[in-house]
Amino acid sequence: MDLISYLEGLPPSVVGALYSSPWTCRAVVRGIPPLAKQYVMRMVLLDQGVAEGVIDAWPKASARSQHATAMRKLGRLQLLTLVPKGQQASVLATLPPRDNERAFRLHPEVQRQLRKALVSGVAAQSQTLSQSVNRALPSSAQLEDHAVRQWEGLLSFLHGSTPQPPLLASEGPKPKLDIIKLLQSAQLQQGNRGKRELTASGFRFMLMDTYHQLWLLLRAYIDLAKNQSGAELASVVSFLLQLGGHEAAQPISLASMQANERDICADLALLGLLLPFRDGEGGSWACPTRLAMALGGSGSAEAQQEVSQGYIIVETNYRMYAYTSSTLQRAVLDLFVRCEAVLPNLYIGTLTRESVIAALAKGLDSEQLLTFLRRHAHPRALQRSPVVPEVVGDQMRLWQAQTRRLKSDAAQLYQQFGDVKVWRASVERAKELGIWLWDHEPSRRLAARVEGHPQMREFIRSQQ
Amino acid sequence: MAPKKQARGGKSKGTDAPSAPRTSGRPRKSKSKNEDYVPEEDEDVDEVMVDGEGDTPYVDGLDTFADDSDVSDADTLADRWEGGAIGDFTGLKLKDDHANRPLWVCPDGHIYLETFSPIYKQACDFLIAVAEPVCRPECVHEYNLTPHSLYAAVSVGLTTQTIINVLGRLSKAELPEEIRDFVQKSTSNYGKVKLVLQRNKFFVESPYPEILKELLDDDTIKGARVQAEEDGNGGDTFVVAPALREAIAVDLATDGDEAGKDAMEVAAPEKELHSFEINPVKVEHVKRRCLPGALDYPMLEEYDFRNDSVNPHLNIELKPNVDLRPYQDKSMAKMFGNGRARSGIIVLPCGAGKSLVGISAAARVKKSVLCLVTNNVSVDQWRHQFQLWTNLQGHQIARFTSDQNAKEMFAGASGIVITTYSMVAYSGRRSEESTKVMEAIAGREWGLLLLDEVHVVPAQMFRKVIGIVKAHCKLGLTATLVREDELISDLNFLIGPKLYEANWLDLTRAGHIANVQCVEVWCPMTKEFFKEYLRPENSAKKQLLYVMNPNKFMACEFLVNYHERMRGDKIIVFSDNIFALREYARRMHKPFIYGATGHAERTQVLHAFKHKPEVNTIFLSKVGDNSIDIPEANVLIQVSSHAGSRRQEAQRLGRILRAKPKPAGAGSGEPADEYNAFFYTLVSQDTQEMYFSSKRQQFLVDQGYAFKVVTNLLDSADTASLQLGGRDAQLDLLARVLAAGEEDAATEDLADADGLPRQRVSQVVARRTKGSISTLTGADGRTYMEYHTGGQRKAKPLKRKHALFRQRAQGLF
Repeated sequence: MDLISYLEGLPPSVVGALYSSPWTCRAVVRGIPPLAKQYVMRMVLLDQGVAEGVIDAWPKASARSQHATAMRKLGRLQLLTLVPKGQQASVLATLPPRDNERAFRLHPEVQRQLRKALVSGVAAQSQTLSQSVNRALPSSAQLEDHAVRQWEGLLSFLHGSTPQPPLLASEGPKPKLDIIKLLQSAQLQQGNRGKRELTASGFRFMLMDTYHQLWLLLRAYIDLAKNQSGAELASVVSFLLQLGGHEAAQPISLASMQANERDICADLALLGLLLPFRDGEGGSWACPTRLAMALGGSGSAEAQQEVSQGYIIVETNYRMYAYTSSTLQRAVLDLFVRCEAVLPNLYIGTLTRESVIAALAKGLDSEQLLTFLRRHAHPRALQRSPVVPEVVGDQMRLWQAQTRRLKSDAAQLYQQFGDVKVWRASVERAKELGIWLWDHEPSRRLAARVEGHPQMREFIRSQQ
Repeated sequence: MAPKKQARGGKSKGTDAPSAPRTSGRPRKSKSKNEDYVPEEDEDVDEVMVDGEGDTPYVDGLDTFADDSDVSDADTLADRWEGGAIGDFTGLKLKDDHANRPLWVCPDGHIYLETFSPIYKQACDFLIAVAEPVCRPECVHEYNLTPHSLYAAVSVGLTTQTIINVLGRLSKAELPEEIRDFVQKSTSNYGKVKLVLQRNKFFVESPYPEILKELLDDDTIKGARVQAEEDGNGGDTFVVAPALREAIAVDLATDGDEAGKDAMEVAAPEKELHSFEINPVKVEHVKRRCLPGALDYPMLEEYDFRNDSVNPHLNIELKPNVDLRPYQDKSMAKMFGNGRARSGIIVLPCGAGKSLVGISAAARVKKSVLCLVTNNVSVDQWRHQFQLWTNLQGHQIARFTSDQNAKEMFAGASGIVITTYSMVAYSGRRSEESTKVMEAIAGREWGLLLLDEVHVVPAQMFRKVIGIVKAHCKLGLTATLVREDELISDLNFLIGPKLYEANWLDLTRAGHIANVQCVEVWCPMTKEFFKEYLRPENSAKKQLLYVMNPNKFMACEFLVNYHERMRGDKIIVFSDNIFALREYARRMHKPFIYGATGHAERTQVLHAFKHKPEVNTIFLSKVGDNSIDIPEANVLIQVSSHAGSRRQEAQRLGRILRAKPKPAGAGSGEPADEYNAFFYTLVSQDTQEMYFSSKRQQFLVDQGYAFKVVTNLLDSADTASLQLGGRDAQLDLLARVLAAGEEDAATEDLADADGLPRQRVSQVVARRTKGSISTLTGADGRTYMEYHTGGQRKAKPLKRKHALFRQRAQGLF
């Protein structure tokens, strides 16, 4: 789950409303694939729109599939809109007109925002801070510490290794967010307070990168906020993206906010996205952490690099060495690795068939595991290619393939045929219908797919 | 029964595991079985000592030691560690500069080494000396501290304090107290006392006079002491000599820059050596008194060959153009570290030039050498090697084998004799010449006893051989110091500690051995074969069914065709199963060699394979596993194998490991990761083979090899062009397989040196008759070596088929 796929799922009217925020536009353009980004930039200054044939001629022949993906994304996000029939003449003037050829232009609101950004810069809202605020400003180490504590606290609570959800230690408005409710509405956890357990998507969640984890949670958060307080979706999303668009350590004054925005801020502080603090005069402020920055930075490579430092080495003998002292990371590895020893800064384990199959059974996927191992590869492992030894990757895929060797069909068993002729005819009939699965003459039994049961019942009745 | 590894993990399940958990390493023990680890051994040893009175002292002494070693083997720290299945060592205190140090030392004796540390090389050399390598892939190596490895460390001259200091220095965390204790306990008595043979007098030597005094308090040793004439009162004075400088120990203890001088001090703290002479007749008694359980000062044996004026000198020199590779030099340095020759084992991968190591050892010692090898073919190969590398003439190198023409003894006062283990250990009637040579062998003192492929010969056999041959120094050579029956630990005491073990991956990277692509090809069973395989009444033929799986045959044919035609490679196909061997070879029209093939024919086939361009593929049974040197081969296809034997897998890989010459025209810039040899294992899917194959690969995986699994080899192939592509042919084959006698269904019955239980039902096992000879030598059924003298038992019934093959083979050549 990320911003783009979230927006893709929203109704068009809502998306349209979202584009009125420069932050949203910026985050969306950052988040789309490179080729789509290129198309947007090409069209940003065109008022009339471009004929589909022209756009189709842009990419190299070798990039057809990327082109298709880009166009699909642009369409779903409504970044490209169809130019109404009446105006097509001016668009197509430069080309020999074709029948029914469509033409596209950039979403007008997005176009307006982007042009504005091109001319004046989107982040050009520098604020002058008073002395007292500057003095109270948290250091980057404090910010980092807060982000890690809150976020890892949340994850270990989700994983079940800590019994309590994280609390907000620092001052500021009290958050109203119910973490358990949030996790459950995100379908990461199920059960009640006494006995909580991870769902399949919860397991997948544990292996995701921070950016995707954030968005998945925030999406649930937005829905929750909408249901609970009727907060308008567009304003919540814009507010979130606005937070993400802030420069590092640029404090936001809570005093200037509306009440519902202040609530959101308190909740986000609980999740570790913001660190609330007070200036010398008692004014409430909040400072975004790197988690909030990741929000606006989209899933790009640099953003991920910032979030996590690689620490895993996988060897050809299925041994895994993870340079970590974090109990959370160990807990995540425990999901699919057989742990053999834990040293102060090293986790030693083995990828065994049993451990991997157990992870697969929980709803994980071998590709996800491999992506996880690759994403968190130790700098030393990154020097070799492939990062995760080929044999290990192959073997994990094979293990997964092995779990899918049996196929199950819902079937209906027919037995106690009085007459062997009826039995034989029924077998024939089942084969005709293409639902035959198995038959056994000595016992006069027959199994067929359950879909065909009505017809078979009909047929057998008619025979008797 | 499941192979050892699995059993230790406590979840043994022996049969059709449908897929392969190819994972590394030992599972840690969940709970130690003997938590208190010292006291038990006393009782044990005493019992053995009393029981052993009747036998000859020599063998008896060794027996005691060997039995005892089982006890001390269980002493590893891992056994003692009670931390449960997962070792939680988070309590260790990291040093501030831990990033610059290469090791983690766990309290349970496991050591992890970062290969990307700047001082990796020094740390690695040191660890090889003090610990047992467990697995050595690319980035992080694992070692294990064991009493044996520490014994070896002490024997190359490292002291307890050096080991602890250097470990502490290299470790990222403070050295755990357990490790200090363990090293201290394991080494405090080792290596303190040496038994040295000088000018044919035996001396007990030690840098610690107080230990010698303690020994002399014992009556046995007191009685054995020879009093120097002028020293009438027999008092406490010892002969004092300056200490030897342990060159190698100083090297090892020096980890780069900082610690140089520090190490010098700890490695040679003693300035002088004290010694007293003992009566040669009582040497064995003295040795026995010094064993653990008695006085507990196990003696290291060293041979001061430079000062040995009694045994005649052998004028042997390496030819001037012989250039030892760095790792060969290193192993020599370990062996001759202080100017004397110490006994021990050197472990080098196959094809890395083990024989040259043995020969250079002979050239250093310059005394008569007895060289023991596994079979007649390698006797010839060793002889050839001696002539190739040294200045020795043909008449100085004698062969002693079952062959009528090879019962020689060298002419002069000194020379080399090359023979097989079974020739020496044979205890039946010998021919007249044979008896004469044996007497000569048993009657003299050898400077060096070279033991080739020590892993194949059971400890029983060694005891016998060592009891017969009097040698000052024993050097064992092997590539794979693993056995499923763990008889290896005995070798530590029978031959000596492991002096050196090379890292396979490092040698591959340096180009000393071939870069092998290991592939496991999964062949689905055909429907009909699988159906038969599952039938309980076919349990005796399970193996034959999965080996004869038509898909496997087609995969084999496809690979042979591909490598012969497309790449022009030389291919060896291995099959343990003789029925399959014959069937495969005949269908593909290739020559084959198995136990019953005569020496002459073997030589002929191997010669043709080496030199004739039209013979590019040979089929070998188990006989080809060890020491048949076929440098030309670079592709190996394994059709059937001996259950879960890690050793066999590694040995077979060794057949193609010899470094390959670069193809003509290819410059020196050959990329390092390019494969120049291929090792295929064909595995029938969903059968026992899958399970065995994962066990077999363990050793190589631990050495850093990666097995690539191919599941769709035949998808791209045109199966119609292959034999057995059609269903009719397959059914025909199935009928033949089902009609085959039970003997055919079995694997060849050679020396079952691995001690693995057979994977067959009992009535088939019953075929293995234990002859008295083989039982005595510990080499059950190893009759093919004595082919000409006695062991024709097995050859006779096979004569007919043999002749048939000969006719066909003649047509082929």
